[in-house]
Amino acid sequence: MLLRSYVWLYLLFLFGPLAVIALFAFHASPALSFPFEGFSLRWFAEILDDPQFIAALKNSTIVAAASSVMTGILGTLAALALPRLPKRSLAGFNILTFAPIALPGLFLGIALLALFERLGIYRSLWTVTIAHTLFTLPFFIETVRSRVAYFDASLEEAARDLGAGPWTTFRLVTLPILFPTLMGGVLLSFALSFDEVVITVFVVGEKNTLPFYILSMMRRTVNPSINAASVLAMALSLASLLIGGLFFLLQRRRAQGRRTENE
Amino acid sequence: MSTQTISTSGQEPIVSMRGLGKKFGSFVALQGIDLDVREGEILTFLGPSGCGKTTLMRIVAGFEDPTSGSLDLRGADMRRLPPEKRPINMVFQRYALFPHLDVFDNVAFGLRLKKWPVAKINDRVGQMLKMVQMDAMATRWITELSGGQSQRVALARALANEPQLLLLDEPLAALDLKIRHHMLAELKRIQNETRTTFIYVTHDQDEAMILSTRIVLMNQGCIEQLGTPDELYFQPVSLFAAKFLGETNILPARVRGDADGDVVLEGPAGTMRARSKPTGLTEAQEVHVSIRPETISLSTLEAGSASDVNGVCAEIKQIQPIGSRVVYTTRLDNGTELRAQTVRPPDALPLAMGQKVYLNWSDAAVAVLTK
Amino acid sequence: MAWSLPVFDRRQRAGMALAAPATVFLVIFFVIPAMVLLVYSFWISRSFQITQTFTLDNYSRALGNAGLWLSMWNGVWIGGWTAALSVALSFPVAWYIAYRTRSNAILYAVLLSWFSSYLVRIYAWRTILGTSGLINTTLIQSGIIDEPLGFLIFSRTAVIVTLVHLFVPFTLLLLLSALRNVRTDYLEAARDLGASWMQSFRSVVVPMSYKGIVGSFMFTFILAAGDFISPQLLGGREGVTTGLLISNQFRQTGNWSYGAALAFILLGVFLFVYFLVVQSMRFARLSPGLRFHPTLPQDKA
Repeated sequence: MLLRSYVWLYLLFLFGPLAVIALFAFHASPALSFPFEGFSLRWFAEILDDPQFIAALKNSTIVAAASSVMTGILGTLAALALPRLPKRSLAGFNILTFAPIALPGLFLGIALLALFERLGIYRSLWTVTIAHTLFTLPFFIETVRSRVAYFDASLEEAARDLGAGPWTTFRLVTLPILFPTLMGGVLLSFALSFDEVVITVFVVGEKNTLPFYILSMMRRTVNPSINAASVLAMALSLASLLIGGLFFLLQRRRAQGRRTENE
Repeated sequence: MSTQTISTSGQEPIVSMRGLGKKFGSFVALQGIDLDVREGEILTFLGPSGCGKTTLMRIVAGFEDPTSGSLDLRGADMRRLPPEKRPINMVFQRYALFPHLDVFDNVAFGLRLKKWPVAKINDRVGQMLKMVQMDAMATRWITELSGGQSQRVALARALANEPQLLLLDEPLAALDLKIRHHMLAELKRIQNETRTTFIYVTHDQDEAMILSTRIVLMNQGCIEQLGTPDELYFQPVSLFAAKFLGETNILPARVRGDADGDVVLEGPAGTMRARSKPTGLTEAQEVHVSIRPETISLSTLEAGSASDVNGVCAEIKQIQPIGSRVVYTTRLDNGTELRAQTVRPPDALPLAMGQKVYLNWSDAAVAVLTK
Repeated sequence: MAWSLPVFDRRQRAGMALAAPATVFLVIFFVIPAMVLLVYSFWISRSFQITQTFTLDNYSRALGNAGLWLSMWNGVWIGGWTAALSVALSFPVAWYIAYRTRSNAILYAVLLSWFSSYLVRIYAWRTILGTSGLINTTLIQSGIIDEPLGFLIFSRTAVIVTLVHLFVPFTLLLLLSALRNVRTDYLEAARDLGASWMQSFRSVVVPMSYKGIVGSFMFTFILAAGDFISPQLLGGREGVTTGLLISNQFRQTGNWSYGAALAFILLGVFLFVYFLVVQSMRFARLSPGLRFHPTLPQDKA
């Protein structure tokens, strides 16, 4: 019972501050204090009128989409490699794929900055996309790892045995079975990229990402529209997770649809 | 007399292996396997885990490449052929049914890849499901099936493709005992119906005995013995074969000579005659003999002796009734122990602990083991 | 001596081909950049201009600088407290999720908070702790204090509170996956053999989930000690960390070589902390693989 109350306190600690921000985003007055003076959407209107905010939002969406697709492709191939690699190569590969998140983001940021400078690469959304892929790829591989490890290799063998070539096997068996996991990994990557700022500050060019823009707002002023911007950013992150859930449902629907066709 | 026959009598073998070897790094999994699989038989690869039986089957399926030797299917070299190109199908140990497809789609999987017309696929799948008595469950999801049902679907899925050879990798290992016996009978029935050649891999001697036309007993990457279940049981050629199949008494012995076509041996159980005669036995050669407990009959001293060619007097040290049978452990004067087994009588056991008895067994019950 | 290339079968060769794209990507954008950075730390740079001459000046200058040591201490202090608090606060919750409940609701809630924005959470604490923030204004309005409490924000404590809030979901997830390996029958066996709750926790749970505990501590430590945005926004003068100094070298001062040297010194400090953590776990006899029969000579190992 004591433990249970503690768990509730813990959740309160996690969500309390977020609730505060969400609440003040709708506050009619600019004061960040109680008593609460009524609800208003003025801060949302203000932030949505800010062309820089809208541009940053667009940039972040592009970067998150591009880097999560890149992570999805590289990560899926890497995940499929895991059960196939010989033991010693696997140990090395595990270290390589995990190392980027075992170091502070700061280190990745300055190292990439140094590389881009050496190669004379102009900083742009491309460099941000690369940085985000570097950051999300290890998370992707770690999340799908256990699922891939439990994947029964004899399923692929069974497909081969029944006449499917390697590619057909992947298309008809491996991919459909792993699809929810992989899609989950891609959406996780999307959300991580959408929120990333620690590495981004080093590799961002003239075009802002959303968190980078919010960070510069936070450094400039204390402005209630930051609350609104934060709530919007958070809502978009959550939306990407919800879309993931929908994908999952659709997948099941389709499978059930096919089932009735056969009857 | 040896059962190590390689060539088959006039019949064209469906699969023939010559000198087939497989190494994993420095580990030798198979060495120099010579084997012919006959059309329409159930050939069982039997052996303890790590003996190479699974590797050998996976080579036939195409999931492993042999390191040496040849592998032919009806005279055509199969070594370069990937698994999907071989007219061979397999029932996997844990069934390997596709969890994202239902029963029908699992069975239809191979046929769709062969681009069969829809109507023909429906017919074939229906026919297969009927054969394995799963026709009422065509639209079930794989996760909704019991072990025995999964097994039937796996069988239907493999047989739907009309393979020339069906491989079964310990298909009953994951099932519990009762269903296992039922499934064995089912397998035999289905094999009878389809006349498909089966290669059956198992470590379970009972399964092998019940099901097989012939058994390949394997040990440490080699074929220990090849023969019918009866040959393996009553005429084991090696200590390993004798111990692996069923319970037996193993005694050391020395060859003394010939008498009426029997081999005369001497050992801790006195002088003994054996009808089985491995080739190349020499006088004074040290060998082992194997005598199955159920071939030894017990009689009380009063009832007299010498009802069989071999006999010895012993004292009963232990009596173990095990279900339908009774196992007596007896000790000879020189300390040698022999176990004898009888059918359990419905009333009280006729023999008691410490009682002196005669043990008798025929010359046909003695197998001479030279390795 | 005979030496031959290892021979790989079809499956292993396929594995290598599949691993190749990710490997190439990580080598180009992780391994090589790290090496470039290492090389930079031995060059000279000023105001974003690099001179390619080998020197150890960056390191000697850094190590002789009291300000650096202070920032290092700040970083370790902040990271250490954050990690210790995160592990301590999360452990009971991980325990609850692993053993006391069958529902995944709490786990999903924690995951959800992990996905709520990093910056938003920093900003939330600034809103709560700031001089005109929630706590101060509420206290002033209710007449408890006259002047805002200045120590609430722009202090190491403010940074630690924020970082704990940031990383605690992550710590929880790592701890939970470690606890999932300690099946309840081990606990029951320990209790059955007469261990009290505390004893079974100390001698069974912790050693068996050792990797997860040390891993989650170190992970949180590195993330917290290397973070530079929270110290920048909440730390004030008291909370200047090496991470912040490094980021300033790269973004404002432009002395990249010096910044690179600082980064490698920081990594060295992280390694040292890892060593300390592992040794102290051993010393407290909480590590796995120790022998508890002191008569045998192996025990010294």
